[in-house]
Amino acid sequence: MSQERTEAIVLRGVDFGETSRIVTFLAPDRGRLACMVQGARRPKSGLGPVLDTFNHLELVYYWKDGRSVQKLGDAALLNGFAALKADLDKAVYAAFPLEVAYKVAQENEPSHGLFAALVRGLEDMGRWAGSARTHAAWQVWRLMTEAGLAPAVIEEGPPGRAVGFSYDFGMAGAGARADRKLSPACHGALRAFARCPDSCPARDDAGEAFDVLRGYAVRQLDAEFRSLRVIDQMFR
Amino acid sequence: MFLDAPSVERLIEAFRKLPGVGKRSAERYALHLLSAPEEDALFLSEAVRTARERVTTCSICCDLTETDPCALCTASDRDRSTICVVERPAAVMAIEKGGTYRGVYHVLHGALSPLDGIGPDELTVGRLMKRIEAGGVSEVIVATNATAEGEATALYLSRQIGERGIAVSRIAHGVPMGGGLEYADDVTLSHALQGRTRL
Repeated sequence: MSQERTEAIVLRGVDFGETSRIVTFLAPDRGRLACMVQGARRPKSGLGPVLDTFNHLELVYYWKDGRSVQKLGDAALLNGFAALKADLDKAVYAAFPLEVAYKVAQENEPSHGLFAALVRGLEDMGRWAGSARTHAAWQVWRLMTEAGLAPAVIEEGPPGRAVGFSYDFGMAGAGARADRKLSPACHGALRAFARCPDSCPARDDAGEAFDVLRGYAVRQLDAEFRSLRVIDQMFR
Repeated sequence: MFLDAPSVERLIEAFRKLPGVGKRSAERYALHLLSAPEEDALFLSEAVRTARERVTTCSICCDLTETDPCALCTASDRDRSTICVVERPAAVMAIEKGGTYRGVYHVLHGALSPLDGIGPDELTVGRLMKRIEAGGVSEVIVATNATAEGEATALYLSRQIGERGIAVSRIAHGVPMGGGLEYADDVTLSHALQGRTRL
């Protein structure tokens, strides 16, 4: 067993036993990392309050090969994303990129790019003054790109015709089978997403990019997203 | 392990469905019940059956109760113009132990948690809104937990109830009584400072 130190983002947590929690993190060196936090729910636990979802932490944990749940030693808060959590739309929409990160991350596999993209995305969302829906779409584009699942980009569509989008590979040109057509505004927004890895480009596409990327993420990862069910419930 | 005793396997499986109980704990509980006096085991089974039969949720506050409406909703000395909204029935018990709150409650049975697929429709928000629309409510105190989910729930309720012109307040978060500042974590101290009150 070795003691290791890392930065991490809290992806989710579940209660375990009387007072403990099992918390799943995204860590750059370990990818998806599950840790047992004994006594986390005790009123005077120093660890419980910092293990909130989304939090960016510095962890000390005890790694043992072959164990699926490691043991957390200590955690210090680096960023609680207070601005994001204080905005209902952002807090709810941010759950979708967080769930995408959870699903694309692999256990015990370095995920430096994915971790950096998630931290950058959440930081940027806290400052973002536009639509939380558009920002969540940009974050999902960046996370899918870091996971090696970047959608194909077509700069110019066929003359006089809208660019299509296939959930199997991304933007589709003339002759290729597409799941939907992209409005010019959405096509522009998605091209801007591909060019802007550090911050969400200010684009107004009426939230269409979000619908495109949710379809893409669902098809690519062959997964259901609980967060999408809640987003639909709250914002449609 | 108990291949020749399917009923014991079934008992172990039943215990494994309880939150936080793994295979080994479930086996320990099952073996304890089998070696305990018969009346103890039957008392447990009868207690579970009776509770399941008698306990329901209050049609007003959604708390667990054996009488509908519950005793708190029908008590003549409670202030019905103030509703304290909590996540779980256990929170009602905790606040009642304090003995200072004289209003009534509403139990949501959870908190907004998009990552777990829990939205307003999975909670008792609709019943809370109907209660408020019925009139006579002047303040709603949101006493959800100090977590991302609890905060999101508070923001959502504030948005929904605030539109109806009713005061919405949030319970304070901070240093526990008897707790030394040097042992408080950064997040709690930060909340305590933000929520400071003038003396």
